[in-house]
Amino acid sequence: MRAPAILKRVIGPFVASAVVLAAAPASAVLKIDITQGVVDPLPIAVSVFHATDEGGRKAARDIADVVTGNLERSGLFRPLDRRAFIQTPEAMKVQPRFADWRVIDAQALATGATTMLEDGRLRVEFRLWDVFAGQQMAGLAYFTAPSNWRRIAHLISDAIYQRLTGEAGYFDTRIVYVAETGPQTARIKRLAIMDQDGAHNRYLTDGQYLVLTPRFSPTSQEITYLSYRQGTPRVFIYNIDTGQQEVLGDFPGMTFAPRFSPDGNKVIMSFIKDDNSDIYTMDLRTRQIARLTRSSAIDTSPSYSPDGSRITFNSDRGGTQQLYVMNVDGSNAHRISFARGRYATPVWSPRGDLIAFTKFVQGRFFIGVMRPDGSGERLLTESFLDEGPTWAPNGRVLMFFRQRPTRRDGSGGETRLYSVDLTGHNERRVVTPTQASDPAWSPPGSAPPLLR
Amino acid sequence: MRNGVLISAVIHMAALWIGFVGLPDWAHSEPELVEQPVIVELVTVSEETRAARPKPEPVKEDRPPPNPPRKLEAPRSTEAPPAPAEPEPEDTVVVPETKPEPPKKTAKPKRKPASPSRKVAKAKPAPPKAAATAPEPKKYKFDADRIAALVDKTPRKRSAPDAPETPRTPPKVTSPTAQPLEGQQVTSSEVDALRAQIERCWHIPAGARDAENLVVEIRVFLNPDGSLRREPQIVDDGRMAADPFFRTAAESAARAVLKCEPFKMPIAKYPRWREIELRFDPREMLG
Repeated sequence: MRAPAILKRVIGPFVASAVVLAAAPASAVLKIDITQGVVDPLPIAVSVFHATDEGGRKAARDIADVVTGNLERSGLFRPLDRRAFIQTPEAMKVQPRFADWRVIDAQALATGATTMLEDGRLRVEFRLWDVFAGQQMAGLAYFTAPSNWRRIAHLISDAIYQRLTGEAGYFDTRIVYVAETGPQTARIKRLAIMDQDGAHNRYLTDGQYLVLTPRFSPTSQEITYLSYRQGTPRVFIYNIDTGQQEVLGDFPGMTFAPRFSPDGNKVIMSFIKDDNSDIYTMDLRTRQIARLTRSSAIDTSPSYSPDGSRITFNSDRGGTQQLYVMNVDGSNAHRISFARGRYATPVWSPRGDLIAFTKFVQGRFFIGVMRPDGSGERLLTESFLDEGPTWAPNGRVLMFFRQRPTRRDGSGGETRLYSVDLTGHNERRVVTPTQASDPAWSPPGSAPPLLR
Repeated sequence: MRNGVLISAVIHMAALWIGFVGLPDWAHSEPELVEQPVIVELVTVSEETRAARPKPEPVKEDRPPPNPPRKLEAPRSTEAPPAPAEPEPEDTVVVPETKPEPPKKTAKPKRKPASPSRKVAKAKPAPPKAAATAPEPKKYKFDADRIAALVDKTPRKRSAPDAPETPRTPPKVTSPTAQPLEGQQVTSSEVDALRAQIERCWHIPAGARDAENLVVEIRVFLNPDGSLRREPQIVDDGRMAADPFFRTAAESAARAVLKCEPFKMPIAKYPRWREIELRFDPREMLG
């Protein structure tokens, strides 16, 4: 027992002096602050996967192509030209020769292998490498029906995105939108759904009735939207799996601008009565209706905060159309937009930190974001007509629709979907087979579950 | 009552007196303000005061030698053509460094005569001595140096291109003005050059949340030729596993260092930059 105490006494001073000695040189280390860097997209090499047998050969190339396309569209990555690659997929079976990839300036490298199993399933193996550190950053293996190869490619894209940005990916998601065909005077509008990259496009309604503002359920395979099916515009719910449509609530008049609550149990919408629109919710299980606003002004476009505690909406109760935020029970409604112009279609970010909106000022439309307290307003896009922002599930990217008129009076031209990064960079058109408007991004993992 | 009158009279007299005497004082104090440009000259002071630091350095030098990870260098040397030369210079150069350092202490008096060639140095030789004896003042001067160095950026930048070039050739070839700087603190222009080199290689982690929490400190250990002696070390290593955003930021910083090596620094001042702490701060870029 005594020995340790003595040891402590003897060694104690030495330890203390050692600490002092260790601390002294540390202060002499040259310290440099690095505050600037390159904002260019990260150079990444996505190699064609190694097909271990003939069955997996097509998937090996297709998956790499889809991953490359996803990463490129995100604007955060610059996939390198495969013709510059030195090492073949076969040669990388064990581990890549990192020097070969450093030479072409790749900072990250994605490799993989595909195998057709005896039971008919496809096995896809994927690895992500840090080229300069010479380390594996991620490794995953999937088993699935060969027809699901595209989903696998999206999941791999998500894994790469998440590992390199720290943020969840949004590639395994879908977009529901309104497909528009025909002349402006006799427009046919159909509900359509597609993968985030434009693949698997299909139409949900036949275009017999006008449809508007589709929104995804966060929890089920359902879409709520506005349809003229019953003559007056009413809010409907559409089941993607069954194709069933159902009018929502027994409102004596026009309901519009629907949106699900974050838990998926309620739909919040506007209801017009006597030329006055107020905000209502309907519980999907009990079918109970609750009124949240009671102003004589037009209150519309409600959107929940992701935690379900607050609601943002737009109202002209102050004279012009502006953004407001209120508690989920309708109390404490206060205005948050005060700059010049009119504000509409507020949408709360899935992150909760921002609200996206459409702004109209001096004859131009803008898509912008501001904090929920109204501060930090930033405008991301500008055109003759930009409208209807929707958030990617990770709160990093916005999609909206834009009309480019061909005539001076604003008629003619095309209506198309666009996406833009939260920074205002990387604005690009979303390819759809027809003209399109009113996009809504699905929540993450909304696609049917995948066999693994 | 009389007292009151007397007191008020005295105060009035005093006020008048101060008014008369004070005004000339104000007028005289102005020249003192004019003298303040001395602050600008502190730049050179800072370099000399830092020069006094070599004293604690020897302790640091005792530690780095134990760095065994030369095994890590070996693979690199096979990958990168310039690397093979690394191991040899490392051994050869490290030894001379320990030797030149003690001479620095003795050489200090020599520098003082050399520095008088600069207008400023006359007043400064004294402060360095004080700084050398008292360690705490150094810390204050440490920051002041940086500010002064920033102020001094523009004139220095002209000499910046010279600085990186000189180390490539033997150090003795450097210009006469550069010679007295040997073994001294790395100049602001040299730091700027290194900073620029790293900033070109740093791909900022895009879209990071809470940029203020993503400041990454990395310790870099260098060979005399500017190549990495071993893997860069993330100071707050523990956060890597817990925080994916921090891990992303830290990896991007490490990648910048790995991509940028070898760094171009004057070999004469190797003891100053054999170990560098880089602080990657994305706040300015991410807003």
